[in-house]
Amino acid sequence: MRLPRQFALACSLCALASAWLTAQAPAPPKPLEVVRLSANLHVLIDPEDNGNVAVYVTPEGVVLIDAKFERHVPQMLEAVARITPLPVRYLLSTHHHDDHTGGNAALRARTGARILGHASAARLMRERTMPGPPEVTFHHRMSLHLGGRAIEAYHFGPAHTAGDAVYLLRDENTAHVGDLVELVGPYIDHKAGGSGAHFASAVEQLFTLNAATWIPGHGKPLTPETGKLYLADLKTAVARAQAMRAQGVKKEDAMAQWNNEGLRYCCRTNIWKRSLAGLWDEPAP
Amino acid sequence: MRHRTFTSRFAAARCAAALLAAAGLYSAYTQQPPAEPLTVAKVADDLHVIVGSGGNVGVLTTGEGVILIDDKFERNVDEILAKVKAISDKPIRYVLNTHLHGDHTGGNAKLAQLTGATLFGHENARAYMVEKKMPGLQNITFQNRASIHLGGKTIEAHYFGRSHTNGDVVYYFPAHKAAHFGDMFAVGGPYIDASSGGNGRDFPQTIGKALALDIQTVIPGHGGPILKKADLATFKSELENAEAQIGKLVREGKAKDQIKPLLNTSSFTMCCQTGLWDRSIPVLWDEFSK
Repeated sequence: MRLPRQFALACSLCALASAWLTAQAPAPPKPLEVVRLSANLHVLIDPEDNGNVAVYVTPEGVVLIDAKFERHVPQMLEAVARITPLPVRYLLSTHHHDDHTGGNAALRARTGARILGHASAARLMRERTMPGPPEVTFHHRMSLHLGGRAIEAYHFGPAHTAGDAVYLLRDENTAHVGDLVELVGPYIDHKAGGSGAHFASAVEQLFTLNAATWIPGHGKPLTPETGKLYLADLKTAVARAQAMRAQGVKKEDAMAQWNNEGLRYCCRTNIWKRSLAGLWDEPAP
Repeated sequence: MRHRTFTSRFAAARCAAALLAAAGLYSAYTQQPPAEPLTVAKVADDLHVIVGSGGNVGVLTTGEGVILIDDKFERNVDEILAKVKAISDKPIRYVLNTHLHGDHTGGNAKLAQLTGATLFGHENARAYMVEKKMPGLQNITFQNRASIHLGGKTIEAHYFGRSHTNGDVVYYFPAHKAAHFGDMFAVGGPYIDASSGGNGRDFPQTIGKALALDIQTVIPGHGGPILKKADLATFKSELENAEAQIGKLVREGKAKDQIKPLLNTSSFTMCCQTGLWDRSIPVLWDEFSK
């Protein structure tokens, strides 16, 4: 009796597992849009608007900034191969969120790329046992030199998370700013050390890079002129939230009472509204 | 008492021998003497130091690869690779430089070519290497603090300010409570390379910041190779003593070429003994004359 029962149990578990696996098998991701910013710099945008991937080609190999999800890795590598036969040498992460780092481990396994990022992003990934945390991490400033080109990495303090990195491609006059600039957001990930009080200051520091083009974490590349409008709206929104809090609006009512009036470049969507409760928990300004 | 005298004399003799050896290492620094065989000293099962010829090479082994701190001269690369292979069968993934000088970075280009290792160092060190048209430029540079994580192990890179040059990195191994100090700590030195941003008056306080690390074991750039934190503290206080003497002599109006015989540093055990220290004396005279 015992053996057949175990056998039956194993069989039904097998059937369950295979049904589950079939249900979990990801649908093949939709094709990537490849935006050409220059001969050496492309941006891979996917229709679901997961983290934008910059593909920077140097004479000695390719540098990727961000990695979307693991399921995007094959098509990302195909897109890179259509741009250049050179290997991927480095992968830079703008922060720890999995729509930007989900492909890290698979990309490293397939290309041998070294992964770089901010120390706090690496710490958060390790704490949360996320795969592919950065091997080389920095605190304030780091540079990557490859094939005569330089990429400068900056950390401008806590904003979207505690571990946001901005990457300046000096020769391209372009910066990948990650989720510091998110016109449909931004989101302040308080659980990961993000800060509404400091967010605008971090965005202000982007202008010191003097880049002509900003690649945001999500959406199309933009100019610093649009960045200025975003920054102004962000300051208005943070001040508005802080005023609501000072007037005694309860944390749990903040989302429902949020007023979009006058805001055009940020802070209109649920992505932003979900940050509000955390803003109530920040130290009073 | 007699016994104590004997032991202290014996210690003095050993000290002198060590200083002679350090002086030998220092001549390697500027000239290019015939290659001497390299030896390996063990800090822990996964942390070794390759000694001989140029600067001391730190070797951290992990399950995912090897990290080297410095790589002597180009002509030492084959022997360094042989020594590393005897310790670990894993590939060299990173070479971390303590500063720009050729007795610490000379193997960079060849090692990167042979192993695909990523070269890493301080941004000021790389800038001087570009200016001086040196080979083996770093792929990754940092400003004040960085870390390398490999195979579950961590090395922290710290920049504490000007000392031997303006791009000296202390590489800290937290799991070992050990650190490689490069030429911020060269036994019998220091040499203050003003042409690479070095600064004697900042030197002791820069060491002081590094001494705040939770360390027991200290790997110097030359000499040692396995010393204690107290040895570095001694080096710092002896350097402060020597600098105070130089400052006083400058205030007394002594000329640059007059001060060397007036300095009382013969009782020092860690600092101020070698020919390269002699070359630092006029640098300090210049600094104290400003």
